[in-house]
Amino acid sequence: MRPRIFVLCLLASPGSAFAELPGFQRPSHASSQDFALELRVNYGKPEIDSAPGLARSPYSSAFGSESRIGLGAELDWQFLSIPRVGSLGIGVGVGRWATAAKAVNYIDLSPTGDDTTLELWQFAGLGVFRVDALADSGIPLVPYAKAGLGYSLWRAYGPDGTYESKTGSGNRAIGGSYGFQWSGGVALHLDRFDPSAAKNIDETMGVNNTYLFVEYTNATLRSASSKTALWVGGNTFTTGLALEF
Amino acid sequence: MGGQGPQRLAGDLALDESKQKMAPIARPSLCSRAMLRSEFFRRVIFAAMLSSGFAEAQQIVMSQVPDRRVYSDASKQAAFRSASKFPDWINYADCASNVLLHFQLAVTSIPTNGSLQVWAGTDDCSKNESRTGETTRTCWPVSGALASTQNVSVDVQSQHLVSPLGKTAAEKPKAFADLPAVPSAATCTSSSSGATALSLWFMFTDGSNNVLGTPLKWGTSVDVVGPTAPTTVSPTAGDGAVNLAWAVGDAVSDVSEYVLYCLAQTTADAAVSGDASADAASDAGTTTADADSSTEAVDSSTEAVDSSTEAIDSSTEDAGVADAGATSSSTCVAPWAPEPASPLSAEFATSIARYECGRVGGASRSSRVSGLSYGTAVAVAVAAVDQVDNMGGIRAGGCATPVRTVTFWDRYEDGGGDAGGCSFGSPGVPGQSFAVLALVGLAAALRLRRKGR
Repeated sequence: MRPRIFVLCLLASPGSAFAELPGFQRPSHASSQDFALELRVNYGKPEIDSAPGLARSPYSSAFGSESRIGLGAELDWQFLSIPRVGSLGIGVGVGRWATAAKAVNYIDLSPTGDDTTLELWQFAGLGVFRVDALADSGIPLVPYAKAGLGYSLWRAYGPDGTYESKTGSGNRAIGGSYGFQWSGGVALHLDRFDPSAAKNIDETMGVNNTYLFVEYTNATLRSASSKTALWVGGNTFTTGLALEF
Repeated sequence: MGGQGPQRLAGDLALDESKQKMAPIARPSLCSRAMLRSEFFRRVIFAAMLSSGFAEAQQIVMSQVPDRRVYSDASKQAAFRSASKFPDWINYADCASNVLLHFQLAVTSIPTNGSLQVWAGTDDCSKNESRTGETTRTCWPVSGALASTQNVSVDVQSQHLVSPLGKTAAEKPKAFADLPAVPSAATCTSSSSGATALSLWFMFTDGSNNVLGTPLKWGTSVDVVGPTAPTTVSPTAGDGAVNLAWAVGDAVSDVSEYVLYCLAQTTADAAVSGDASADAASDAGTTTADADSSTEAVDSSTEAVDSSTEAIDSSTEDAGVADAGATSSSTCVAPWAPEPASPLSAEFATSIARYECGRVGGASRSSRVSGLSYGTAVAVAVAAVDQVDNMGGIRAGGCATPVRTVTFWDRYEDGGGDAGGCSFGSPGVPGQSFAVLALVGLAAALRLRRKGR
């Protein structure tokens, strides 16, 4: 069964109880471990200019070709622990990303005093598979993969608010684009570097593991390649701090 | 607010000093300032205290809420400021126009050997040394001889309260005759931009300057200096708008709001004075787009997009030019250029009021004036105003010319993009379905979690 379908089947089968399957036991911790929280710093840019039929690279012309930083968070529920292998979970993520530049004078393209801004609010529902085997064998690294659905609300605006169409289409510069996304990353298990502090945090705050992670994400938020979708997905690099509790 | 006719309040009950200190017209610090600034609330409290019966009998009471009168015609009432701007305080405009503070007193017991006097000061004027001590005087008389009758009207000139404030004890007037007889706005100065608390003391004194009975005290504050003007004002062009940014000095405080001034540089405006310029200034000063400029903008949208296409094609070589539509202040014509000396005279402040195009809070350092005509330069200026409407100075910012801009959205639509319209998705999997799927997933997860326990 393919991973995406596997996750969807899992969601659609509320009566199933993978956690109770014979042979699957949670590892012993000082406190129970059910969740993972990620605080994320994203670096990337939307693939707006890649949309078919779109001429003159409007995103790059307005904002440049550089990537920008965004912030986000993700909460995973680790519903299944597989001894000596890893864990399965489902999670939801939310993030904000924005870029701004000066609008230009239409005559000579000189910058004006007005900002032109594109803002994205990104949401995701993900299945997460973390491989704990390396960490269990003494290498403090946890590879992982995620896949799921993404949705991004977007809005383009200036000092006077959300832009209105000047072409008579009636469109306002606000909408949403959906699609699939997947990620792969590796997390560095920080507890290995200071076990006593990790134990203390676990006992006092219930945090079982702490990680620094780096992650690559590819999102194709194109609303099924609709002509009227703004392609706000793309390639994103993320780093951040993850806590399992 | 304020300025209504004085109401006759029944009863001769007196207020002792402690009760008067509770009154909002004296010091509003103990209770909610917002409520106490209210003229209505002020009058209600005043009436309640007079009629409540808890006050002890006193020699002198105010039988009406203090009023304001025009100096040149004491029968005319002068307007109060709005409730949020401390209407009982004296600001520069009050002082410059020498507003009269009008008190209606009721005297229940007239001493045979005393005369009714009104003194002002920052300390307790009922003490003899505060009024007569050569080196300790902090009070000065603000009225001449008053009739010793049961009902007394007193008009105190604002300038008589302000002018002695910064003087030394020896310089302070000893007698009412020592105060300036001819009003002059030049006396409305202070070394401090803050407020100075001041009290008026209504009392009978004998020939040896001893106070007879219990004086009546009424508190106010004097604030005649506005905050320092911004050090720089920088206008930049926007889409049918001008963006203003200003900087202030480190020591600037007491700023309640900033007032923005705009003057469109049309031919008629260049004359600055006259109806034509006033009308044009009014056009420049609105914060919503006027119909003409909006129509013009819509009509020319196609042209703008076409132009942006050309501009985009040649963006590599052109994109670095930075001018932002601002022009040198030397080309601007405005009544505030060159900048007048601070403080602004009341006449000047009145004369430029018609060019006001916005107000923002005292913490703001930027603002935007929109609804301007494309291609017409606008001269701008910013002034700081304190909590009692004192304008401390005005800083000219030169001119900026509103332009048509090319935004990301213009480029997107010009490139053939057709997204937008607040669509929650499109053919295929609609956004609503995504939301439903997410909710189903969440419910399933919660159920799984409960089973797992």
